[in-house]
Amino acid sequence: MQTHFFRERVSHSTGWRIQAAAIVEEILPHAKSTQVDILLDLRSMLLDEVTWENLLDTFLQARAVVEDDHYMPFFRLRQLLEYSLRLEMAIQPDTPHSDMIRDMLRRKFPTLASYRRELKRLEFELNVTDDILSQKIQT
Amino acid sequence: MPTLTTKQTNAVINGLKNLLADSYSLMAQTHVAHWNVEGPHFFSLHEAFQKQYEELFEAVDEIAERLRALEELAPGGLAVLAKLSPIAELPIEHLPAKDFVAHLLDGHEKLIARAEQLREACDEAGDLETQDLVIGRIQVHQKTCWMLRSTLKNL
Ligand SMILES: [Fe+2]
Repeated sequence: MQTHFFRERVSHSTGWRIQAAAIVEEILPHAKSTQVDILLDLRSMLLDEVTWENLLDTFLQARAVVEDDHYMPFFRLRQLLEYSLRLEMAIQPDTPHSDMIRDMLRRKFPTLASYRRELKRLEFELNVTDDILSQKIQT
Repeated sequence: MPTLTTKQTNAVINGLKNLLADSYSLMAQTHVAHWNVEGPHFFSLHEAFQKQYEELFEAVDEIAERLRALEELAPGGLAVLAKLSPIAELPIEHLPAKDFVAHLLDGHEKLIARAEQLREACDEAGDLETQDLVIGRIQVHQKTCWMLRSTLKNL
């Protein structure tokens, strides 16, 4: 059964995606030819309501190519994504920690895969440190 | 001279309270940016932000005293003013210098949008003195927006 909470989140989601797509549209007439394709992809992904993972990945790719020339629109997109994707993730089961979105948007990862690799590396380093520490304690 | 309706004066009073809250919030945010900005452009940004929050400090006083001249009490206190303003707070963390500029630019644009509504409300109420103050404030914020936008291009 769809709860009131769920419906409210979905209607919020549609609203913010249209708002974000409008920001992308404002950049398009001023974009370089090398930036147009990724911006068109981003706009259609926003309007097609693709999953947050695909959307975030495309956003990061667009950001890497376009942000330097259009900082303010990307700043607004980041703010919208940070708030709204967290809400979207909150209604899906088995999603990773929502701080991940904030972290990614602040730290300029070029793709979702590169962010996940970095997380794995950190996790590995932490495990290694834990192992060394526990060995030291035992000896 | 036509008599003002309560509705018209209320719009001016509420608009002035919002302008006071937005200016106060922006002053506080600009002060935070002055403290926490980092990077190769530190000195120029640190100084530019100082000039901006000093100007806002004087503006806040002028707006509050206009409310008193209209025989209204001026709202004050961090919590009260924060509730009246939609301007977001800067996160307290190491941010790229560009994000401080972008955050403040966004705040100035939000303030201008509400101040323009107040300018119209003053017009409808025939309160030219308050309108004069509001137009002056809009001009200052438009100039700051231009400076911040130009800064963003070269950071
Ligand atoms: Fe200082």
